[in-house]
Amino acid sequence: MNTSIKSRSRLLIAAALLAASGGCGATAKYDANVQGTVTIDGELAPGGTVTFTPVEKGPTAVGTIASDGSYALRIGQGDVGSPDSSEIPSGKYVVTAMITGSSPPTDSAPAGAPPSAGPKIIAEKYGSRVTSDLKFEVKKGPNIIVLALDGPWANPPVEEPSDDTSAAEAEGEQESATTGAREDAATASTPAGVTETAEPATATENEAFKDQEAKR
Amino acid sequence: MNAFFSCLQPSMLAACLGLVALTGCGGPYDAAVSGMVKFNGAPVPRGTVSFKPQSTGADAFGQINSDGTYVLRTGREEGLNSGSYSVSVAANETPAPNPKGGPPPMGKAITPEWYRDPATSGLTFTVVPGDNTIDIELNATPPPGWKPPPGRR
Repeated sequence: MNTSIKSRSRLLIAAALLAASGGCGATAKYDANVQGTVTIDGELAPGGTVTFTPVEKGPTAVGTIASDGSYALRIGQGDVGSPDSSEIPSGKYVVTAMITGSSPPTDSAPAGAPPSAGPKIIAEKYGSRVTSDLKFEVKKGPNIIVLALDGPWANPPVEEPSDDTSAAEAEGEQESATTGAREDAATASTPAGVTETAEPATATENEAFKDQEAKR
Repeated sequence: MNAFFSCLQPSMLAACLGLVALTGCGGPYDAAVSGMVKFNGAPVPRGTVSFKPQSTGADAFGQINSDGTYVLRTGREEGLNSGSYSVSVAANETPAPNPKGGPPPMGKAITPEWYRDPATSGLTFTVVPGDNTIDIELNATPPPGWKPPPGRR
């Protein structure tokens, strides 16, 4: 009797340990905190989302951009009590971003429905992991990662005919005038995309944090 | 030890409290910067101030308020590391939304182009531990040898 309880409790402990250590497969170590600032053509981003996807495997981290351009990454709910202290696994990440401006004045959403999303105010390339040139190594401990993004005209989007027809329906005779303006804007700023690249910002900034930790 | 006992003297109390405020719960940074951005003497009503460290460290940013004032932040936290910084200012008017629904054009520049790049802005400041007031005065005179970069409006 006595021995069976003992062996049973041993089994339980062993099971608990197993669950804690390897239950959910090889769990990534959540050992890094990432905060930073997002700029678009040098100005602070007004809102939006950044997504850090691991280059190898692991969970994807997201950050909501505050109105002051700052963000902090989390996975899932992150640290609910202190969102800015949320931790993610260190390692290499590719970054995508979604930042939209205010909705167009010719909003076709029906009354009562939420307004349709505004146009993207960053270059198209940041929308996909394949085309994004933002790659960062997240180090153990605190990281500050500045994301210096190009504006939408760095890679002018291809004109979509379907877009034109829907807009034409909404605007009627204004159509020819606005098309002209749009083409002007596109041609005037096209070269910016050729000369400008997003700054791969902060390989060295982890060192500064180490210094701070030492001071504390 | 001596430093600790000197805190017990009334004359040192304020300094010691300041020290506690700096190192205790003021976040991870040892300095704070606020100030005003002016172009030709008038406050700049919007835009972004960027402080880039001259050696290593994290960049700090500040949003320019409608009265021209700004406060620097590093990531989510207010404050920054003390040290020497190269500073840039980018301010554009809010562009009118594109009536066709595409991305809006870039707003008209409020501050001159050369202030956008810390390498050409000619603005450098030293941030000391504690509170700093840094007023940034901009003018329309380009730095010697400055040429507009190709392809920008």
